[in-house]
Amino acid sequence: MIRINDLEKIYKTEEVETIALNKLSFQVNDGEFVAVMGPSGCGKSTLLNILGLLDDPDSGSFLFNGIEVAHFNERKRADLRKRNIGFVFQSFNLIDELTVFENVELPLIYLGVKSDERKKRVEEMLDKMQIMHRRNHYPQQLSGGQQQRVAVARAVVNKPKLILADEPTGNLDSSNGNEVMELLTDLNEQGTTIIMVTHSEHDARYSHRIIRMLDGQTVTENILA
Amino acid sequence: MLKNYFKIAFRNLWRHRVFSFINILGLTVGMTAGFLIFLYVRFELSYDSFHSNTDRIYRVVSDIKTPTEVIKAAGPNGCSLVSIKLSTQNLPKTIASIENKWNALIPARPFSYYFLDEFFDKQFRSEERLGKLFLNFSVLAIIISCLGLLGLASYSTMQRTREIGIRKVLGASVPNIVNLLSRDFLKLVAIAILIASPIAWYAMHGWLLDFAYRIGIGWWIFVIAGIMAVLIAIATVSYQAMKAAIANPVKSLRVE
Ligand SMILES: Nc1ncnc2c1ncn2[C@@H]1O[C@H](COP(=O)(O)OP(=O)(O)OP(=O)(O)O)[C@@H](O)[C@H]1O
Ligand SMILES: [Mg+2]
Repeated sequence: MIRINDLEKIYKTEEVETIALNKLSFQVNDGEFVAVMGPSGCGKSTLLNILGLLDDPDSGSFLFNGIEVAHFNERKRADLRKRNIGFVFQSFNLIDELTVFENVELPLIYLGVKSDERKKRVEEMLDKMQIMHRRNHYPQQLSGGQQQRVAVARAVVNKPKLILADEPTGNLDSSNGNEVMELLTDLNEQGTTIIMVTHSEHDARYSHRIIRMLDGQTVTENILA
Repeated sequence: MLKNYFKIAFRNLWRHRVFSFINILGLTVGMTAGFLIFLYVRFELSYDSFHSNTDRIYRVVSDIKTPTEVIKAAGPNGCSLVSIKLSTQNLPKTIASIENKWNALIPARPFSYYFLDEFFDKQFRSEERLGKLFLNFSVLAIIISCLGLLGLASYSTMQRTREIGIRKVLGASVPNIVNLLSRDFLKLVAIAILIASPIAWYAMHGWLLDFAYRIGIGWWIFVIAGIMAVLIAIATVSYQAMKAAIANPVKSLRVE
């Protein structure tokens, strides 16, 4: 599904140059659940943003389903992204002005799904995440665990092939965290590929494989399953 | 869908109610000023509006060419007042010759004359001064409310940076975002138009009451002024919206 080769990303500010990704290469197969670990600042989020087509690399190759996307323009990236990729963030990133239902509905709106169909799919998803009774609440009226469940619902409502999660349990207590991990595991068992950045060895054990990074490079890979 | 749309619109307005209020007020002032300028200009341009009983003035087109005939038409039994359009070259001589003709044809009535422009000048000078002052203030008010709109546009797009980032992550395209932001502004402008129209109408109506003859205030004036306000709003907002929509979502989400 994903194959990257010698991927480089360099951030330039007035005087400093930060090499966030330093000739990084690896591959992720369809249906895999991969955890990415490493110390703070080693480039994990940078990597995830590039894999999610939110940002482009400075050099190297990035094959997504066999297509070279490293230098796709904004419009092509947005198009590929909304059809194939769902995101889950540490800080949930729900839109405060919209209700739970409206938040989950957004990706479908941008995909051009019809209103009745949207309603059906959003309700189905809210049911699955056991948050249906909160459909008309606003994010701020929910607990962290509930908010993250909404965020997961939103990430998967358009049935993406790939889910990218950046420290999805980082703001949650352990029981809410475990609940989210169970959700991700379920999704993975139904065939969704998952790449998750985490600082928690405990969460990483839900995955099949752990990629460990240091200074923008992979150092080791542990295969768990 | 439409119901939902209005629901969200009002929710947004309510959420930022102080801000919405100030902004709508500003827009209202600006638009009222705009309406008034418009009405004032139309008033100035309207034909013969300075006469009392304008509605009873008719323009008679005839073949009469010479001054003699004109004065004859006035005649001893005709009207007592004749308006004559003169060439301003050698004015004293022209007036003297008209006086001669008058005295010869209608000796029973003494000849006296005045210049219409001076007459109107006297009568309308104070109104005119007021009008000019007013025009200047109105232009100022419009400029200020445009600046306000621009400020509001930058402020609220800045506030929504994160939201825009999230929407882009979820697949919103640049036109989607520009649409979203512009639409929200047009909603504000539409509300301001609704509030400004009756105020402008009332103010203009009050002012016009002082005149013997008044022009009517047609509904289409509000339509034209409304369209102009919307165009100005689009011009001020589209730049900000474009800038926000193009920004890299990764950077937008970094700002917490
Ligand atoms: N927009 C940016 N401008 C400049 N430098 C940046 C920018 N984004 C990231 N960096 C730098 O790139 C490096 C990698 O950042 P990144 O956010 O990928 O780290 P991370 O592994 O996700 O860390 P954490 O675990 O704390 O989230 C860091 O040194 C960071 O300072
Ligand atoms: Mg990070």
